[in-house]
Amino acid sequence: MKRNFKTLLLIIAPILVLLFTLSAVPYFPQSLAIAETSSNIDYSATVPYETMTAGPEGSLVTTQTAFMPESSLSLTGSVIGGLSSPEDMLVEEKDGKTTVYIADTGNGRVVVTDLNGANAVEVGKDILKQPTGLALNDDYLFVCDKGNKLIYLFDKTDYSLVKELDKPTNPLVGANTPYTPTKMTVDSRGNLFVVSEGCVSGLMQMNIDGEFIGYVGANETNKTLVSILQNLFFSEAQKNTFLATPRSPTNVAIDGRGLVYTVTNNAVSNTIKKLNTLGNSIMSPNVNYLATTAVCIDNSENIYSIQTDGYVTIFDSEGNLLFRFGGSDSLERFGSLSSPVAVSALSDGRILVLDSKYAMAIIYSRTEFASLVFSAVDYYKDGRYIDGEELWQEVLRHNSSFILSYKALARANMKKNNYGLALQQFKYAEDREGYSDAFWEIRNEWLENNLLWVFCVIIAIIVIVVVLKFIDKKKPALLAPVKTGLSKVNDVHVKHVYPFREIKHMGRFCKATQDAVYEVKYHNAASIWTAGVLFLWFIILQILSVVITGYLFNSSTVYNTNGWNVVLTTTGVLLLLILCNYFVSTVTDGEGKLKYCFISFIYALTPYLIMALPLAILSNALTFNESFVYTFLQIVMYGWSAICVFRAIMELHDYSIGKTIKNIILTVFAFAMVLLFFVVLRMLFAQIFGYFGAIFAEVIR
Amino acid sequence: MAKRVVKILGVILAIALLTVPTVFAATPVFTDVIQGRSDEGMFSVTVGDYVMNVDKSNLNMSVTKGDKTWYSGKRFSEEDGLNNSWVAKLTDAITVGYRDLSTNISSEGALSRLGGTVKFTEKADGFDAKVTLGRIGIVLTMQVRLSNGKITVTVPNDSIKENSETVRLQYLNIYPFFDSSYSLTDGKIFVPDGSGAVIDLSKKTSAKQAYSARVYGDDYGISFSRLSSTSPQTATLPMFALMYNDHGTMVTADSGAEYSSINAYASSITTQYNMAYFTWIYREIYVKYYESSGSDGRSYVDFQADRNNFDLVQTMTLFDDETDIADIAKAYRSTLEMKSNDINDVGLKIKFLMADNKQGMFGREVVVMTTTDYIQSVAREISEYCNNLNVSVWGYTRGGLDGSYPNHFPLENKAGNKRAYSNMSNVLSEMGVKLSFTTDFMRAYEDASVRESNLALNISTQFINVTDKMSGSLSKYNLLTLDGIASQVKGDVATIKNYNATVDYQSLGSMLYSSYKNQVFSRTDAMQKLVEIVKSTETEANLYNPNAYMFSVLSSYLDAPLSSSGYMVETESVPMLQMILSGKVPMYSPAINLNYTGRKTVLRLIDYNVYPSFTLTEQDAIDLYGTNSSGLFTSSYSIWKNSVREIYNEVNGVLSKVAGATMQDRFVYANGVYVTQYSNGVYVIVNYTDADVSVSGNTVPAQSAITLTNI
Repeated sequence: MKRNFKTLLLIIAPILVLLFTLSAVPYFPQSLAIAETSSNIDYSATVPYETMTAGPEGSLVTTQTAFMPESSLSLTGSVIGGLSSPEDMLVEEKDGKTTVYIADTGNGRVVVTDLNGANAVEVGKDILKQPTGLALNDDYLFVCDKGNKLIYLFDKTDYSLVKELDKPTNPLVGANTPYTPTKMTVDSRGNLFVVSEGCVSGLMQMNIDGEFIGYVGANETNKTLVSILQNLFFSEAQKNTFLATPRSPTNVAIDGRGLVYTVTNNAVSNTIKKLNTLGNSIMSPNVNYLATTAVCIDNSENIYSIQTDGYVTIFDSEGNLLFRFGGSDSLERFGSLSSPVAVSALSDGRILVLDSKYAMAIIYSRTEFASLVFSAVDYYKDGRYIDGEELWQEVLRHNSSFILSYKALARANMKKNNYGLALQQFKYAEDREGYSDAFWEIRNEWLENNLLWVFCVIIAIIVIVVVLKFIDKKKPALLAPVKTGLSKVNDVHVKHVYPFREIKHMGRFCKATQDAVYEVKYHNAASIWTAGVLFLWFIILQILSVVITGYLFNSSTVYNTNGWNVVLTTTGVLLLLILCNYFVSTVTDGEGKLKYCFISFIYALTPYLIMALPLAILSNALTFNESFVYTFLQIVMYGWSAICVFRAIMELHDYSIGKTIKNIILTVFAFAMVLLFFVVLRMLFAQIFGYFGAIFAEVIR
Repeated sequence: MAKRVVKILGVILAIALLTVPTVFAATPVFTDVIQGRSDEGMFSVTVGDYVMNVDKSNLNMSVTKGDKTWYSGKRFSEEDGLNNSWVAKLTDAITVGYRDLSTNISSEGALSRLGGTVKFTEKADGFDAKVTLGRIGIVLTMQVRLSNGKITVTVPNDSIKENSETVRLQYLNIYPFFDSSYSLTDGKIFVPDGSGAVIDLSKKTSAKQAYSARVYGDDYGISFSRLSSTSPQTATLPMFALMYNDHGTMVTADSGAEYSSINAYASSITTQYNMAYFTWIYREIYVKYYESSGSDGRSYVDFQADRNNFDLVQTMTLFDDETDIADIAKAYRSTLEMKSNDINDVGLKIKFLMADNKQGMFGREVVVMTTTDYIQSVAREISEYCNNLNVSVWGYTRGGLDGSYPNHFPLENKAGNKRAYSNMSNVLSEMGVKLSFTTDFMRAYEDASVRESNLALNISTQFINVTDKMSGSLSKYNLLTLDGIASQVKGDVATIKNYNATVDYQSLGSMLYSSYKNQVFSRTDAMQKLVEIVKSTETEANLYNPNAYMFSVLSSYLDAPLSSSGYMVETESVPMLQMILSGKVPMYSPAINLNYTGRKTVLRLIDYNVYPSFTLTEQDAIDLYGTNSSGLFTSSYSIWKNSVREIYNEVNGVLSKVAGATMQDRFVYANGVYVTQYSNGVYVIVNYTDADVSVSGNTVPAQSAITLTNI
C-alpha cells in the first residue's frame, strides 16, 4: 500500500511540477518572451523636433539636428513586464558593460537591465513602495523611497538589501524638518546628498551610515521690493508668517570631479546650480529654463538637462547653451518626449532620456554635427583655442549663426594676434568684454605706430600758439589786420545776422541760464525758428547716437531700432512736456508764454546739443578700461542740461526754487496723465474699429 | 371624461412599454460568429476564381480563392475582450458616426446596433444593399462588386438620405475590420505616411495611439492651421495595405479620397486586433470664432451644416500570396495616371535665394543674397561634373522673398534686372542647365497687393489664416481662391516662360482646401481645378510634396520625403512613394545643407533613389539674420562647394546605373543592409552599418552603397 502510494506520488509529482511550471509561463508565445526593445532604428533624417542653438542677440536659432532618436528601452513584453511611471534612471559603464538602473516607481521596484533591455532583473520588489531616486557607488545601489520615507542600500553584486537609512537623529536636522527622500547622489568618499521633499535648508549631506553632516546648496529667496520692506518693518513673528521660504532643490546630480549640481524646478533664476565643495553655487547656465526636472553631466562636464515640456537642453561646462531639442508631441512620434524625468549621458556620446508617461527610455545618438561641436567645445573648455580653431570653423560652415563658435574663434585670433578678426568675431558673439580687449590691442598697436606723429602734431600746435602769442605781445601791428578782419566778421555775421547771433546765444544758456532766458523773454534774443532748428538737431542727434556711438557703449543697433519710432517718440515726448509745463504754469501763476517755454526749453538743452555728437564719436576710441571717461562726460552732459532746464523754468515763470520743484513735479504728473488718457483712448478706438470692422466684414462677405 | 383620457393614456403607455423591448430585441443576434455566420440569409456569388459569401443581415462577408479566405470581420477568439458594441463593429459592414443636433453629442455605432435593416438585391457579380438605420433615420445604398481579385464598394452620394430632423451623418467606416488579424501576428500594415511606413504586427508595440491621418492633409477651409517644419508628413497616397505571409489586401480610395482619413491599429491599441480602415468624412466638427479675425479667442464648437458631396468608392485588391511593399507598389502604380518623364541622368537641384528683407532704421531693407552673375559662374563650375543641373531662383521679387506672394514680379533689380535674367537664362541654356522659378500661387501675404475677392473664405467666412513656422521663421498668410490662383498663374507663368524657364510650385500640389464665400468650392472642385491650372500652363511643373492627384502633371517631385513621420506605432519607413514614381518622375530631396546629419543622409538618397538638392546663396547666411529666412542657417555656396560635388558624385556613381529604371523589389539583406532591385536588372545595395558586409561575394564597405547585376 505504502509502496503504491510512493509510486503514485512519483508519477503525480512531476505532473504537478510540470503543470505548475506551465501555469507560470507568461501569456506570450515562447519565441516572443524575450524583452522587446524597439527596433526603431530608422536610418532617416526626419525627427519630430527642431534643434535650436544660441544665436545672435540672445535669440535661439535653428540648427542641424544634433541628436537623433536611435532606439528605445521599454521592457514591454519582457518576462518581468513593462515599466510603470518610472521616475529615475542611472547608467553605469564598467568593464565594457553598460548597466541601466530604472526606478520603476509605479511597480514599486528597481529594474536593472542593459541598453537592449536584455537580462532584466527586479530589485527590491516587495520592499520598495514608491522608489523615486537612485544613486550608485562601487558597492551599493541607493534607492530613495518616497512612500516609505527611507533610503535603502542594496548590495550591487546580488541586489540584497544591506540597510535602511531613516531620518538622522542629529538635533541639527531639526525636529520639524520633513524627511521624505526623493532624489539623491553619492560621491566617491561616501557622502550622500539627499533631496528631501519640503526641506528648505538645501540638500541633506549624510555619511554612509546615515549620520547627518550638514545642509548644502540651499536656495535663496527672491528679493522683491515687498520682501525687502517686509524684512525691514516686520516683527520676527510676522516675518515667520509672511516671508517666503526658499524653494527646496528638487533634483541632484554629480560630475566626475565630485562636484554636486542641484536642480530647483520652477526657480525664477538659477534652476541649475553647480556647487563647489563648500556647497556654494559657482556656476549656472546662461539661459534659465524654468521647468527643469533633472540634469546629468558627461565626462567633459557638459550639462544635459531636461524640462517637463519635453525638451532636452544641453550646456557646456561654462553654461553656454549648445543645443535644445525635443518638445512634447501629442501625436506620439518617436523621439518626442511627453514627460521626461531623468537623463543619462553615455561615454560614446549617446544620451538616454527616461519618459515617465511613455514608460520608456529613449536613446538618442549624436549626429556628425553634434560630435563636431562637442569636440570643439572640449578644446574651448581647456583653453586650447588655437587647436580647436579648425573645428570651430567647421561648425560655422554648418551653421553661420552658431554664436559660441565666434567666441571661440575670436579667442583663438586673440592668441594669434589677429586682433582685427577677433574684433569682428567678438562682435558677432556679442562678447563686449572680449571686444574691448581686442580693441585695446588694436588701439595700442595704432598708438605705438603713430605716437610719434601724434606728439609731433601736439607739439607743433603748442609751438604755433606760443609763437603767435609772442608775436602779438611783441609786435601787435603784425597781427592787427587779421584781428580786425576777424572782429569784422564777428560784427557782421555773428552779431547782426540773426541765425549766427541766436546760435551764439546758446553759449549764454550754458553760462548764465537765467540771464539768457531773460534776454529771450524781453529782448527777443532767440527766435522760434532757431529753436526749431535746434529741436531738429536734437532729433537728428537721437538717430546719430545710434549710428555713431561705439559698439561698447551702444546697446541699440541700426537693426533693432525703428528710426521713425525714435523720431516720433522724441518729438512727441519733448513737445508734450513743454506743453504740459506751459499749462501747469498758467494755473500756478507762471509767467512764461508758450513760445518762450519752447525756446527756453530747447536752448536749455544746449550742453546736450553740443556735447552729444563729440561724445558719440569719442566712444569709438574708448575701451571698457576708460569707460569712466565716457560715463563722466555723460554725467556732465546730462547734469548740466538738467541744471539749465531747471534754471530756465525758474526764470521763465519767475518762480522760487521750491515753486520750480513743485512745477516740475506737476509737469511730470500732467505728462503721465495725458499719456494714460491717450492709451485708454487708443484702446477704446481699437475696440470700436474692431467692432465695426467685424460688422462690415460680416455684411460684405 | 377624465377617466377615459387616463384609460387611453394607460393603454398607450402599456403598448409603448411592450414595443420598446421588442424593437431593441429586433437587432440581430449573432450566433456562432467564430466559425462564420448563420446559414440563414446567406448569399454566395462566384466571379472567376473568387467566391464571395455574404450574410444578408449585416453584410459580413468572406471571399475565398482556393485555400485562401479574406474575411470582412472575423472574430478570432471569444476571449478577445470585445463588448457587444465592438463585436458589431467587427462583423457589420458599416460603422456610422453621427451627431445628434439636439444634444450636440457625436456617437458611433455599427449597422446592427443602430436598428439597421438591409434590403438585399443579388447581382451577378455582387450585391446591392439598401441599408436603413432605423434608430438614426439614415438610409444609404451600398453596392459591392467582385471582379477578378478586387472587391469594390460604392456608396453613391445621392443614395444617402437623412430622414431624422436632429441626427446628421458624420462619417462612415466601411468594412473596418477587413482582413484584420489578431494579437501578435506575422504580418505588416502599410500606411502612406511620408515616403511610407510599415507597422510590424509581430512586435509588441509600446504605442498607445493608432496611426491616423487625413488623406491629402487637413482642409484649411475648416480647420485652423499651423504648419511647421516638424509637422507630421501628409498622407499623399489614398491607400493602405495589410500584408501577411500568405496573402494580403490593398485598400484604395478610388473616389472621395479627399474626404477620407486612414486609421491603422496594431494589437493592444484599443483592441487585440490589427486593423486598418478608411474613415469617410461627411461632416466635420470645427471651431468657430465670434470675431472674424479670431483675435480675441472667443469661440464655440460648431458642426458642418451641409454634407460633403462625394461618391464613396473603396476598393479592396486581394493578393493571394505572400505580400510585401513591392507588390503593393506595383499594384497601386497600375491604377495611377502618371506623367512619364525621361530620366537619363541623375539630377542635381540648386535653389538660390536671391534676396530677402529685414527691418532697417527707416523701413525694410533689401538684403541681396545672390546675383544672376554669380549663378552663372556656379552653374559653369557644376556643369563640369553634372549633366543634369537644375537651377531654381527663389525670392527674386522686388523687395525680396518675404511678403511678396502671390505676386512674383517685378524683379528685385539689385539681384538682377530683366536683362540680367534673360542673359542668365541664355547662358544656362547654352550649358544645358535647366532654369526654374520657385513660386507660390496659393499664399497671399498681408502686405501683398491682392484683390480681396481673390481670397478664399473658410466655413466661418473668415480669411483662411495659415501660420507657417518653417525652420525658425514665422510667417502668416491667407489663401487664394481657385480663380485667384488661376489668374495669378496665367500672368506670372507667362513671364517666367519668357525667361525660358519652368515653374516650381510650392503649396499648390500639397495644400487642398475648400472655400465658402467669395468663390465657393469644395475640396473635390479644388482637386480638379488645380490639375487643370497646372496643365493649362503647358510647361514643366515641378511640385513640392504633391498629393497623388497631381501625379498626372508632375515633371519632378521636390522635397521628397525620405522617411515617415516616425509615429511610435510605426516600425520602419519604406520608400513606397519612390517605388511608385521611380522611372517616371525624378524626385529631389529637401535641402541637404539644412538636413545633413551625416553619411546616412547620403546613403538614404541612394537607397530611396532620390536626387540631391541644396538651397544656397552667394553671401554668408549670417546676413540673413533679422530676415524671415533666418532659418537658412548655412547656405553659402563657397562653403558647400566641395560637399555639393562630393555628394552628387557619390549619388551619381550609384544611381546613374538605374536612371530611368523602376524599383521592382526591395528587401533587407541583413540588419541595416537594404537591397533594391531595378527593372534594368541592377541591384542597389546600401549598407548603413558601421561594418563591411559581403553580398554574394562582393564587399559592401561600411556606410556605403554599391550596385550589382546579380545577387
